[in-house]
Amino acid sequence: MSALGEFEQLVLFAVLRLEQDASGVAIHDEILSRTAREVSPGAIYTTLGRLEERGLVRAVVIEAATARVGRPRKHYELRPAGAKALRDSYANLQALAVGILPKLNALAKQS
Amino acid sequence: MIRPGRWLAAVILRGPDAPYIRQDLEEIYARDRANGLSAARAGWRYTRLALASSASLLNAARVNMRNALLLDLRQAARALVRDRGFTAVSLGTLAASLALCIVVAVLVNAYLVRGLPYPESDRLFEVRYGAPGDPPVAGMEKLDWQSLRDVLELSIAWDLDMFTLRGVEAPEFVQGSWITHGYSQGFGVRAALGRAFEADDFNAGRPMVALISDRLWRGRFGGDPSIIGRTFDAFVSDRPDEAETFTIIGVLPANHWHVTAFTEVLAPLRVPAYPYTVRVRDGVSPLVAGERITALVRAGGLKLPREGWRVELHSMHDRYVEQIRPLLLAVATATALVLLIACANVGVLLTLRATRRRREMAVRQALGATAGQITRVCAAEPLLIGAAATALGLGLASATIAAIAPGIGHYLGRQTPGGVTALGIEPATLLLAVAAGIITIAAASIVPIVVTRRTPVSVATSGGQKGATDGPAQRHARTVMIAVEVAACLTLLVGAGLTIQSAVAMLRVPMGLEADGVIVGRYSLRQRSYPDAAAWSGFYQRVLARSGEISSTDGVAFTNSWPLQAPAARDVGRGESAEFPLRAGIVGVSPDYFSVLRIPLHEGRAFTMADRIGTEPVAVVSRTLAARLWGTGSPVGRQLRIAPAPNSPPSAAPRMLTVVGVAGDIRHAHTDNDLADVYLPIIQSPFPGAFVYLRVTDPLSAERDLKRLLSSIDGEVAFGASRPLAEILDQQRAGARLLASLLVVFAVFAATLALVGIYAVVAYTVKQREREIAVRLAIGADRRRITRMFIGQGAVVLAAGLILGVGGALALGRVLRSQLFGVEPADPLVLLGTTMAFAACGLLAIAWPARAAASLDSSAALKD
Repeated sequence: MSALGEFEQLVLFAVLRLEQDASGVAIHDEILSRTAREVSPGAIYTTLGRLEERGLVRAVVIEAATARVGRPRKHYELRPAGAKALRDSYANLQALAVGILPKLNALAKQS
Repeated sequence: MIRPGRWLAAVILRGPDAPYIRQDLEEIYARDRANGLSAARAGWRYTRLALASSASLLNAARVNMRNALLLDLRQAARALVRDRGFTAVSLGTLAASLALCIVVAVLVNAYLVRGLPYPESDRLFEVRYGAPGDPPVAGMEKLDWQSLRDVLELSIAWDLDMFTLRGVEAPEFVQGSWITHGYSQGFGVRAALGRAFEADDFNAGRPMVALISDRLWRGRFGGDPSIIGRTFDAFVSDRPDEAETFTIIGVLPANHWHVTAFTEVLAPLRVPAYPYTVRVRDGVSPLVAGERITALVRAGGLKLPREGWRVELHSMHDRYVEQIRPLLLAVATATALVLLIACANVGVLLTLRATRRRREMAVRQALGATAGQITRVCAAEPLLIGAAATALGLGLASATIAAIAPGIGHYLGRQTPGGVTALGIEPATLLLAVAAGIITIAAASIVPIVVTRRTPVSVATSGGQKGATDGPAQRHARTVMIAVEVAACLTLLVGAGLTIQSAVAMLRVPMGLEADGVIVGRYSLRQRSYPDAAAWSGFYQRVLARSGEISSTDGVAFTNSWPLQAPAARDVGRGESAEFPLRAGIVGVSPDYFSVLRIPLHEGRAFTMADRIGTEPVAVVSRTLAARLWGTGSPVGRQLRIAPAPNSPPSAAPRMLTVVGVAGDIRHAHTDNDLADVYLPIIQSPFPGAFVYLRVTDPLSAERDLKRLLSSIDGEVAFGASRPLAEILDQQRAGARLLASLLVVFAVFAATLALVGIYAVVAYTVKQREREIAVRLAIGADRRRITRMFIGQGAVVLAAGLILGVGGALALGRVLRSQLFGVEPADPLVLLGTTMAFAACGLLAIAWPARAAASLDSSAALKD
């Protein structure tokens, strides 16, 4: 299994946070509000499509009748394999980042 | 302001997720508006996000497509590995024919397309003074050639010469040239070491300088790096009185190449010369330049051979390849036919294979595969075969070129322009090879792809493919492919038949002499030591008197005439008449000439050592000349009159000779039809001599003994390496033999492919119609009638192909015309014989599987 890319991690974190409400627009808003980074819905859907193929997320289509907004929507849920992949990626990142913040700050100040 | 964004989103967002994305965009827009953002800004955000989404979707689609293609290719590769027989046949066929095409393309490029390896070579023209056969005009070198500077950029002249290099070692006899400054510039003479010629080197009175070849530098001078400035002494035929001293100013590059091989020593020509070749100025037509030269010569008050005499310019490159152009075009045509046959053959194989896969494709269609996806799956196998065949073909071609490059000049009778190293696969040839590979495989896979794509889904649900036959379009496609194969194949076979016939005719031409066991060598004597005929004669007599010292030899003969080349001709007539009704070749020979070459003497005697200067002038005539001059009467004892040479003074009288013998006719080449020759005794007539023939059993020791004998008589005699006469004769036939053997190989390859193709199609049709045949048999059909039915259907296709092929063969005959000897391009025997033979083989290829149809077990077939 290849490691997760940075954007894939962002999307998976958003899906995890949103729990039952992880639609495309919700993921877009979540990423925008937490990272101040605007990503296109197209990028979110293609990334989720790829993650779905790898068995990391599951797509659930909610028909118009039951959808909150009255239109058919697609929601995503994290699958156990996705949770494991995200955990491992994050753990790796953390392991590398431990104690590095002061140094980063100092370097950033120099420039 | 949302409208443009919505329109854009509707147009550019495609795929299953597009509705969700558009919905999300709408939601974001609505929220922006609710949060108080202006319609313009919210609309702009909508558009921006729609564009970014589209880019993401496109990127993902591209990756998906690539992955799907890779998957198809992987599957195709696995399928090809499983079906090794099909893969080997189709890959081998395509790779071999592509390799053939590449090799021929390299040759055509090197000889016919690229031009000669000289700067501005397209402006180099050979100057032809008068028509062939016109005697040279004397005094042209004194004309004011500078006055043509407005049309001629360079005047190029060279004088071929043999240089006898002297030194501590034995004298070495090498080919060289005296060249003008125009030669140096026009042929781009460079020096790898030292310097090339400069204008000052051509001024009379300057010390004599020379450029030497890389071979001479490495050999005779031991690759001495400080060679520049060193001197060497040499005798040259043009300055025979004194050995000249040459200062070496440079060494030519190892790949220095010229249309003649006389490049071991290049020295400046310092006497006036008229141009043999010119480089015309840019924009000046050769016609205009030719007219200007004609006008200059006419205005010079020189004696011209005839009214209407004029100068013509011929492209130097065209002249160089004149002889081999038809040969290479014939080979190129044959190669194109082979590729066509290979393409049709692989097309048939792919079609049969595709038909076997119809069910799989129908299932894919039923499961929702699009037409594009089906095409991709169908194209994957041909694509892999094509790519592998192109790569394999290139590899095969490079190996073949490396193997044939050193000998190809010998076989074609012309050295490769630019030398052996100039033969190689250039980027343009590589591109051509790849294009040929793509076109061939594309042409071969059109029909199979169409066959599979048009498969109705019902085939998938039918019991299998056994009962299902192909549609008319598929049958027609196969028929056309087989007919094309048969036609191309017959064309090639007839071409091969014609060239074989031609080669046989050449071999059958009686040359009139026996070349086997004879070696011929060239020698040169210093003119100062041999100033006149008496001196020459004395030399021959001394050598011939001691010829017993040469071991393993059965005779030594001298002649002044180039081996197997037409001798210089002069007007001849009967002694009693003042007229010269005939022209005959004049050859100076020593007494043993006839016995060494085994030329029969029909009447009278050969020359003896007694036929020397001071005795009665005698001649031996060829049988044809004897019959033409004296009819049935015996010429022995009659007088023969020979006109003076064209360049002799007007007061010169004809020579009168007594005929002492009649020799058999000999041909100097296969195409030599002028068998009228006069032989004069070399020790009686003033011939300088040049060649020595030895009939030998051991060429090496005979040559060594001859050299020793010559140097013991005269230490300054130079002797060039000897060659077997049979080899020279063989070289004359090399082009015809090469063409014949190539065409035979092509034709056999093509015939095998075509017959396999016919067999495969008939066998396939029989297999497809097994159920029908079984039903026919079950209700009492005659087995022989079933066989006849298949043979009849196959024969129609075969006949159509043969008719087309006869047309192709007649066209190829026209291409081959100039390469044929002793056989007509539309020789009915070859045409009919080849057609009948191929038709018989074709019928056999049809009958074999057709018989299998008749021997079918009907109950087993119906049970399946």
